[in-house]
Amino acid sequence: MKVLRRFGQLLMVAPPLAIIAVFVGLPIVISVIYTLGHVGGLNSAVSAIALHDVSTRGLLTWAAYSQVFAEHDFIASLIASVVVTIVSTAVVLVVSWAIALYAWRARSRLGRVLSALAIVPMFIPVVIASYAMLQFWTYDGFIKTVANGIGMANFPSFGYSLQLVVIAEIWVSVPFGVLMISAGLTGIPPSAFEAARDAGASVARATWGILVPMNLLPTIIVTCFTGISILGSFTVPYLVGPTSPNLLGPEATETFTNFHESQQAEVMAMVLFGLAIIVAVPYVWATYRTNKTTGGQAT
Amino acid sequence: MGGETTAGLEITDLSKQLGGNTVVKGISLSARQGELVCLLGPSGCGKTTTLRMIGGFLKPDGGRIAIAGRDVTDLPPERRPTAMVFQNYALWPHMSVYKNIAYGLRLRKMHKRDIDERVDAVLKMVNLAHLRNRSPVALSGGEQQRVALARAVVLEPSLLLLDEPLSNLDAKLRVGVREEIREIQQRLQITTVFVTHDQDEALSIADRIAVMSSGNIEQCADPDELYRRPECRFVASFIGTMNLFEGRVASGGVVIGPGEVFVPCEDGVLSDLPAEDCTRWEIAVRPEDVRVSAVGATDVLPHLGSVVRQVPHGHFKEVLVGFDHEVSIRSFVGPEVDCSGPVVATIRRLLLYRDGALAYESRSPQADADGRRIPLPARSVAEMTG
Repeated sequence: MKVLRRFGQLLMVAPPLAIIAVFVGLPIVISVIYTLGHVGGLNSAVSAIALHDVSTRGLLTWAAYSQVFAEHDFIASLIASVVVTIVSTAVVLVVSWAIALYAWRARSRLGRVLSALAIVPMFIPVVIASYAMLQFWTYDGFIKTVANGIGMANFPSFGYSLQLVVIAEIWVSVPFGVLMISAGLTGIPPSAFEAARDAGASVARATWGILVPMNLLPTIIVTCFTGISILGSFTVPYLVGPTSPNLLGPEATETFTNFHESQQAEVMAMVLFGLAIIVAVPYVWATYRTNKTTGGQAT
Repeated sequence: MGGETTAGLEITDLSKQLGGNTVVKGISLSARQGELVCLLGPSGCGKTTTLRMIGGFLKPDGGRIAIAGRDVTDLPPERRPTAMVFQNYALWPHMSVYKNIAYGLRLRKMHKRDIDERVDAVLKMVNLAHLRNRSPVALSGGEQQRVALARAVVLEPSLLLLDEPLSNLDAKLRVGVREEIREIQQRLQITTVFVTHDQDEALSIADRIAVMSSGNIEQCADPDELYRRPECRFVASFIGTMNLFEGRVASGGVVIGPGEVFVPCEDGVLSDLPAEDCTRWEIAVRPEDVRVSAVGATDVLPHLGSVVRQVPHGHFKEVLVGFDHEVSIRSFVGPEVDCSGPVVATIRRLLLYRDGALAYESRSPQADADGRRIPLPARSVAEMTG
């Protein structure tokens, strides 16, 4: 009876698992072995139209990876991706915490307005926001025009630069950060903060020593998800970023569509995947730790 | 000035508005060094707001707060010589019991050895030494409460603030923890302000009680004085159980209620008042000051009543004596009193209020010749208020 019940449960979960396995798992496996030199079988079609494929007669080879890592443009884009991700994520964290903390502590109309405004970018499509950024920051954009008008001819322009990618990524990611941090803070009783002040901690010390650890999981979720999202982003860097070096998303797309180097493009995707796994480690650790200390009650 | 006791706390004309309402209306209060003062009142009376202003979490709109002779009105919480125990304990779940207690000492940059010594001493004091490295989330409510107290006491504050610290505990644990709090407070001689809405708690723990209502302190006195001699009608009705009637004084008793029911008083109760007085009073009588005695079926008296309800409390009974015209008097009587037939209620002590203020207090009753006066333990008083 127990076996039958278990078999029934397995049957219920089998369809979605099968869909994931066929439509997600299988392409991943095929791609992985393609990057390792397996160009036959299910990879024969893509390999037929690709240029500069590396193939092996043996089992697998790292030759495609060696080729990609030997390219200066790729290394520059890899560094750009990592730097833009770190800087953008750090700024998103600071801005999100500042807005959420102000709203949590002040509990005033201004705090509520600020929290609401911080969510607005979420409702503006990324493409529109990216073009708006360009209009604002390019050589003939609003800022430069105003700067020229007041005699600041040398005022910098961020059009088609990594700086503008950072600014646009912050715009895109802050709403999620504010929502997550605010939601976490609302679960903390104000008395926890007040008890720290009462014990002798300044506002900054009480925030760092009490609120941040008590709101650690949302903070780590924001860090990891924002980091992964920026690492793999395409629209923002493609529209507002420079030609090269740019983030790995546009770089891989360009390699795939313009240079027809499918295998190399997939190697870049694997590198991105590896970086995303590294960024996700703190999230897995924090979730495990929270479940362990709260008996799985926290989310 | 020599020989004058330093005030542990001195509040002068303190006021605060919140959301357009004046929550605290220019109150003044002082506490001697080592004294435990309770702020007692119903919800919304301003007691927690007052406590939060003392702790520095709210800035007063007016007035002055001095602790141990030093004006702290404009100081932030971290610079005040106070420590607070919060209603929900406010323990930090990411720290062990030890780290919770040591947090304030670490902020003061004390040497680790000294921190260890003080934390261990205070843990021993609250009988939690064995839970030193436990997470607060793994503790019971009573244990969390004691950790919160230890965290406050370890800082050796000049003023300890307790914000309804027992309200989350069950009734039995509450009694035990409050006795512990009182014992520790007396041992350490820390000036303490204790906020509660539970009069039982206040009467059993405080040196003095400040009863608050609508942002004002209605009366501040020691528990016995407060119970025996409430200065206003609000305190009379709020503290303990009280029979309150509209009525007038007549020869040998009082006439109460719309039905003009005559209730006799013992000799001397109305001795300082004219025998007949047309003044309308608010008459307040404690249940233990109403003597109920059974009368024979053949006795014909104008003021006979009958017991309409009785609630046994072990060593005494709470009885409701009903008269005509829906007038009734509550009384505490000994278990031996026969309540099956007609009874006579006699007032042994009363208070008269005019315009809400105490205007007359009768002398304390003498014990009966047969010793039938009901001695009430302190906790029974609030127990019977429901």
